Amino acid sequence: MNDTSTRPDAPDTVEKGESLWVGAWYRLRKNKMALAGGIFILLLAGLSFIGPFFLEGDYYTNTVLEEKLQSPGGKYPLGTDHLGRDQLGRIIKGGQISLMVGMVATLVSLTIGIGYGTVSGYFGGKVDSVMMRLVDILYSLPFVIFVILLMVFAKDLGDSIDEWFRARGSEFSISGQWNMLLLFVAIGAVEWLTMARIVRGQVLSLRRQEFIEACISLGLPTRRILFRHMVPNILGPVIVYTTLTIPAVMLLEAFLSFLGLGVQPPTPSWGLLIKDGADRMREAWWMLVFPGILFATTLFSFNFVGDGLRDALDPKTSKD
Amino acid sequence: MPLLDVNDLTTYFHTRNGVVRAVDGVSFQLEKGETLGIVGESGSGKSVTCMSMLGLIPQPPGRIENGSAHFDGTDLLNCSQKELQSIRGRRIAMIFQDPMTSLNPYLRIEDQLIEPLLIHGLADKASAKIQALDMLDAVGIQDAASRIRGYPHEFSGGMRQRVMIAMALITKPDVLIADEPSTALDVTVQAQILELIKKEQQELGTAVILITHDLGVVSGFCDRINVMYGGKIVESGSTSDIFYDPQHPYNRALQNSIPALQAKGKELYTIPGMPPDMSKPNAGCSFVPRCEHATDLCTSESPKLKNVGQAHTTACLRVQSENLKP
Repeated sequence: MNDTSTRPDAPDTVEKGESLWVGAWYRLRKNKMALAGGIFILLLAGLSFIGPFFLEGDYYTNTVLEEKLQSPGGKYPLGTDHLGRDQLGRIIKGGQISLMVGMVATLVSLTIGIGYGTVSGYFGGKVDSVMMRLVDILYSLPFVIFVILLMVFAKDLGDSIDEWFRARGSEFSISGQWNMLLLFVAIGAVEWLTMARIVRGQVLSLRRQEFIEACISLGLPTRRILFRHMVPNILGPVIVYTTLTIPAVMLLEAFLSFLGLGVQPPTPSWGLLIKDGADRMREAWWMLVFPGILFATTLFSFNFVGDGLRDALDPKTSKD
Repeated sequence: MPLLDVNDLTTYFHTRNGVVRAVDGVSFQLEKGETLGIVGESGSGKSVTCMSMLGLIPQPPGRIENGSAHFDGTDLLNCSQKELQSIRGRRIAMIFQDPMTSLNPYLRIEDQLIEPLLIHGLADKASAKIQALDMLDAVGIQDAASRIRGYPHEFSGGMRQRVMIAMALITKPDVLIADEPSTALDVTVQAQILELIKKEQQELGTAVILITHDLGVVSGFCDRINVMYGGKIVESGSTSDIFYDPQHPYNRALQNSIPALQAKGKELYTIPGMPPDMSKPNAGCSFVPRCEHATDLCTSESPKLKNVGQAHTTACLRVQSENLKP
């Protein structure tokens, strides 16, 4: 893009300028742990989302009872579970579910949190007080009880929605994904609170910066100030917190699935696999060890990436 | 009819510790193309005066209690947010004190420069970019064509202030409010920036309000000067009146406290006492505790601005009533 070519003195090469993001990327690359974590996450995502294309459709539900509880080796590199299902396939599918829950629920919380926090912080005063007290109230609700209530009461809602569509001659069906949807909503609804608080704090301090005042004095409409000038400036801390939210959400999902409230069998998630493994720890160690190690490594990786990003995006370390 | 006519502007801040009378009945006019200096010490209400006109006072705690500010037929203090937005940036622009924080660190200089043009619908993107480049050239950025795609952190303080000036002037506003534009810069850059504002002002015919506490800056720059103290204008007049014929005791004390080369080796004159606490109003003149000419009357009666010469006014009961002139 070179709009300066209309001028005779346009230089041959236009300096693009190094944005703060480029500098951050440079610093992140020097952080070996964060880099390793990032690569691991990418590999894992590739394995769980692209891997299934090379496997047969029922790779994670194919039950061969004669081959149950096989130890790793031979036909089954990671062994089989108590129903003779391939543990590798189930771990791949479980990773897919766990990562998806982590990403989608985080995205939900991100969207609500940024919108809510930005508005609250920017307008301040009474608006801020009311909005933040609401967050405080939601914070004080015990999470597990909230999720249990949601899961119990909204469980049949999916079927009702299907019926509603069927009554109108539509093929649309939601009940298959309903449980996952509820899970996203439940986790997202809880996780956005912290995000809103972080964003609000950032906006509050940004609001007093002179360039925001300059924006107002230039006659910019509020919406443009909020989303063009404010949001990019708070993106640093938000990205960091996001990478730390994803593992927290995955842990929550595992916890809920462990309690039997989350993902429903036969669809596996890492939480479910660990639960199954824990039940048969003595006879089949591989059922617990492999998903456990993978889960722990993933959480570590996300946390390392988050830490690395925090150091990379912190303006105070940018002078190195 | 003056371009900007501010009348009895009164802005209070309602804080937990009481009402702070930041601006208390300020009136002044600004003609087209004129340069007006507003001087006074920290907290005398210089900035709040200008911020009030543009609706930049955080409300609450701030509140404009009274007054009007007529700009070309529109009362800035009593018009809709929409009207105000169409005047801000387009017809009245502002430059801030600290160039290090007044640019958005995440946007390219170009994107920030063209923003006022786009927002006010003055140009499409392509022609706005050309205008931005010309403007950047005009404010003396070397290699503007290659620097325009850069980010603020790649510019020095002086260059950022130049960018700010370019951004403020790109819409060719009628009034430029410069709120201590050179305070955060070192002395040589200060002079350059002021010269730049002067040059652009002459080219565009913009009226300038220069807010500063540096008397040296206003003396060489302004046509007229308002001296503010305690939220009020205590003396107003042409630059030569203010410097060579100071009337108000505060202004005279100010003139005396400028270091002079002839007075080398002597102790510098300072005004005794502290700036007034604006949350504790007194009935009389706010300069009384520090004034060497104060009488009992001064503590009870608030002085009004009165003429002491051609377009030269001052708010002091003692002026003219006795010959205070040195």
